[in-house]
Amino acid sequence: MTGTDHDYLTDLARRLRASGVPEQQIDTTVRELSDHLDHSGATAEEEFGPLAEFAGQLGARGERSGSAPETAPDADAEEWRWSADIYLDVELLNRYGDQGWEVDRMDRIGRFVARRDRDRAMRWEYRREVVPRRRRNDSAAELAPEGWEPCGHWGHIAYYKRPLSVLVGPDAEVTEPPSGPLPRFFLSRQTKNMMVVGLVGWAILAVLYLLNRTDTGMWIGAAVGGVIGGIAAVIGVRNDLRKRTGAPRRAADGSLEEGGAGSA
Amino acid sequence: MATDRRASWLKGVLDLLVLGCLTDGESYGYEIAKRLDEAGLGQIRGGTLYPVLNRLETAGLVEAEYRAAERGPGRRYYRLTAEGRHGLSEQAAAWDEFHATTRAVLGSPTKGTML
Repeated sequence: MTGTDHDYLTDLARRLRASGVPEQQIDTTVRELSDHLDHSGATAEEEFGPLAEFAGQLGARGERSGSAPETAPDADAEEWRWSADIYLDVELLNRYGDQGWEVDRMDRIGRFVARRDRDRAMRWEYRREVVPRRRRNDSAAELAPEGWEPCGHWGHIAYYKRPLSVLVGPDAEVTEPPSGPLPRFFLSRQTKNMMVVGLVGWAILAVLYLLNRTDTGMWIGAAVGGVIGGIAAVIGVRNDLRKRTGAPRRAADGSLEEGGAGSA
Repeated sequence: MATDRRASWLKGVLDLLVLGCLTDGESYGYEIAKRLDEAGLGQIRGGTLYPVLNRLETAGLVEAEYRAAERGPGRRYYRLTAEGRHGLSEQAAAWDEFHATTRAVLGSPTKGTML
């Protein structure tokens, strides 16, 4: 992190303080941003944008959380950051939501930032929707009457959460939350298969290049095949994304039905 | 600092506000949160509201019933019990007394500037 980045974060903390954001929240935010800059190698201005604008966004978020006293994480609350691909995300969100993990947001590198207060954990459920950015607010407003709140987005993928108490009341409390340690990255079989297919494709291309690098017709064929394969992959992922949107299917006692992490 | 203080006030009185939202009849979580927001108390998120509703239900101050709808989502409706109505009336009186005491110590804004 450069001296300019340090000045950026110092000035950011000063502005947040002036906006009335609690000191503990400012410390956490600045520490997270500093860690992120150390990992990304980018400058603060490149990564977060103009200081005044960024401070305004964070200040507004701090003000909102200040109006809801018990949503502020307890000092003893556990925090867990994790990520998963689109084939596992909804299933895992609901599995760990059942253990009391509440996703607060997604960080800038696409990880779910989840918190749990072990002394008063309650079950959460999650859903995923594919929503164009311009429709994100409309989508949140449509789902709000059912108790859903936005808890993160990544491109056109938006995630929503709600306490299971919306459906089952006090039965949604988690009396004995299971303890960690918990993994930080989940890859589905589908994604692993796609990675293998991709690697094999590149390996074949490399062999062909070594055997016959001057055959123009073959390279045109390979390029056309690559484009068709790419389009097929994009369509496949889009279709997969649209599956498992909507609310999870649950039994009367609030337990997830088999394959009920979302409806097709 | 101002935000922290307001949050503490709200935390101390949120259960009464929720009970107050039910005096005119049954309601559900989203509607209660919306009413509190419209009253100027800010957006109360599910992670804040539902633990309060659960505590009130466990204490027998409200009773709840989940009703599936023919069209649209099913909802868990809350209504005041007789005990809840009595508790609200008692605690609202205590709040008024506390407010009056605080007001008397703080004085009017004009009086404050004269001190």
